[in-house]
Amino acid sequence: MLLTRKALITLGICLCAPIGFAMATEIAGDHAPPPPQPAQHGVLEPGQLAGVRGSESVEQVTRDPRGEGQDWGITVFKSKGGQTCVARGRKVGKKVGEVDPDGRFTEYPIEDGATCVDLTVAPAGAQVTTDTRIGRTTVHGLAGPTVKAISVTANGVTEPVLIGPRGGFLHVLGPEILAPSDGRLRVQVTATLKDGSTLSLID
Amino acid sequence: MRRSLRDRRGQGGPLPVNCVNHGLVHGSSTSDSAFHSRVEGAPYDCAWYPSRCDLGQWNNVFTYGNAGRSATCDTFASNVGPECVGLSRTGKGDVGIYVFAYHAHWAHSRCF
Repeated sequence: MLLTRKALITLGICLCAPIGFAMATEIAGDHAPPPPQPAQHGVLEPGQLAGVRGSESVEQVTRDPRGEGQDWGITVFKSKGGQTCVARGRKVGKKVGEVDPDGRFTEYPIEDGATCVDLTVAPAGAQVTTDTRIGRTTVHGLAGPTVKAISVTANGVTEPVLIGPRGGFLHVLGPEILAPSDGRLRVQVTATLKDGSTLSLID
Repeated sequence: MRRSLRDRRGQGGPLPVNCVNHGLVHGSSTSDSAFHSRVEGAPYDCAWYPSRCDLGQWNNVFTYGNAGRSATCDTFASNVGPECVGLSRTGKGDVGIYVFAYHAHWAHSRCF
């Protein structure tokens, strides 16, 4: 009798598990958005974020907060997928890029993509970047046509940030503002929209 | 009135595994000492969470990137020595919500 009961339980599991799995899959399938492409994990290609050469322009040039090295700037460009992208760096001549400790300049490769925002979906987007080698923190991003103003609050001090003709913005902070414990800033970036509402981009 | 981008996300169901493309971007060459750490945006609910895209070499991060909810997170380095020891550390989520936890990716041509 005991064996019979075990056999029945085993038989029940064998029969019900596939049905249950199928039901769960069906339920998940009802709600899961179909992915346009599988998410990659590891080494990426720029894909649709690759910049379109000729669409780039430099704007929002600003001095280094300590007056060290070249000015800072951003390059704004369009990606193959139609997003607006922005990269920040040092401005040398009419280009923006990286200057290594030996003084060598490398223009930012827009073909690789950058910080990109779909401004048809989001009013604005922002990124905070801290380079511990040079003790600088930058806030850069993009604001769309519904944005009236951008402000940055770093360690409790709020400052307005100018928006460029293509929507790019840049703010550069010096080493004095670095948080001593973990090297990370406490930065908030806020967009004020033309309808008077505010939108937290980074908090 | 203050609102969050999170309010604008859709109300879909389960997220795809890892949700968005992320990791190390070599760019035009795997050996030119220029590479990115990146977390892409995507048309999924999870894309509306903040991202981290830290970058370094070996196990040492020297550039930290935090992107808001609507932007691709991207940090870039050039002329930093061998690209094969490049490191990308990425994460995505918000307080109490991890789309994916902070973790490491190395170069395709990893040499250590």
